[in-house]
Amino acid sequence: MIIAVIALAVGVVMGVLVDINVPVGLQPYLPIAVVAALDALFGGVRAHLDGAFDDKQFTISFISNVLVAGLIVYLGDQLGVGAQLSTGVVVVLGIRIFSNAAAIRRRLFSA
Amino acid sequence: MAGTRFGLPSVDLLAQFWNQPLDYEAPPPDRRRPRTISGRLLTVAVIVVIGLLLAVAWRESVLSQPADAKAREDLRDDIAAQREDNEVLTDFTERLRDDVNAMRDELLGSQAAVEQLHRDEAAAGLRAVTGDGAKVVVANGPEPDNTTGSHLGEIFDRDLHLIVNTLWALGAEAIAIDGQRLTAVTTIRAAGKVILVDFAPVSSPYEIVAIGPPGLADDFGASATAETFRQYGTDYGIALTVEAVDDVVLPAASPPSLNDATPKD
Repeated sequence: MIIAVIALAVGVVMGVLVDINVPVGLQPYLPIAVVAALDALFGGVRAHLDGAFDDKQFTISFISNVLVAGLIVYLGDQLGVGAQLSTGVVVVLGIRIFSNAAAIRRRLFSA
Repeated sequence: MAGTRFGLPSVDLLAQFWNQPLDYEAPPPDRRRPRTISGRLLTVAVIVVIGLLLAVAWRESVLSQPADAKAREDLRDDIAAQREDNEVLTDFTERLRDDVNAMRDELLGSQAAVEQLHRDEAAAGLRAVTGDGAKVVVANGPEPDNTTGSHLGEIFDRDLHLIVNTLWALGAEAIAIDGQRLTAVTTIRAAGKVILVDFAPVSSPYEIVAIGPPGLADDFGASATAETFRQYGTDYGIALTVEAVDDVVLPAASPPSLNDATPKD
């Protein structure tokens, strides 16, 4: 857990210090990727607290979530419903984030 | 199982999301894999990437704001600068036109001819004129509360046509809408949501000033057109005021562009 927090901090510091330019074509997918990343993060914390954390599952689910979310939005863009599908992805991932956060809260505070 | 709480399976999609959101459901104990070094490294790498992603997204959204604001500001400055240029050029044109007119007057020689020319110009709308007359101000009614409804209290170009034509009919000799002098070939037309008087946009409240015979304001106030607009006022909230004005100055209209004639060299 401590290692994970340190790793997260390292990533954030790297992102702030290193000037990474996101290509214009990828910029619409950034918010989706962020929500998917947050989802993976909360899911991982919950699994860890449940004692069910699995490295392989965490890695694969993060990558596949980001890819699938990006693919859905890309497909939506091609079909002309990109904004709606983005909303759909954000809603689904948002619900997951909320319920994972609720599970974490229940476990940590028994409330 | 929470799915049964809401009854129909199609209804409890959200409930299912809420209660079973995880990919991380605990696998059966016998299938639990022991954690390996490479697995841990993989997890750490993913978490670093997640942190990176969050930071990059934060940078994108925070850093792009000043750029957007700057682009907006630049555009605004450009517009202001162009407008200033335009004004300078318009002034210059006017000065040149005055010069040309003065030279022409000089060449014409006879005082009578010059006066006749000035009178003709004034009648045609190409010379600023002064006199007594009427000021008609007409303004849009209040916007409807629901944005979907059509705005019945909106003044259209044809409303201005009606007022202007009534003033002409009552003997007005010169008319200007919002400072735009009307000539025989001036257009008053709608372009989208705005009304253009010879390509210059005018907006509510529309101020129509006319120079004409004594009693023009009273005549207009008693006209069928004014009655119509008063009815509009009761029905749709359009405001119409008519008052007599003394010693108003109406500017000259810009000379019409030549369509069919070409200058002889």
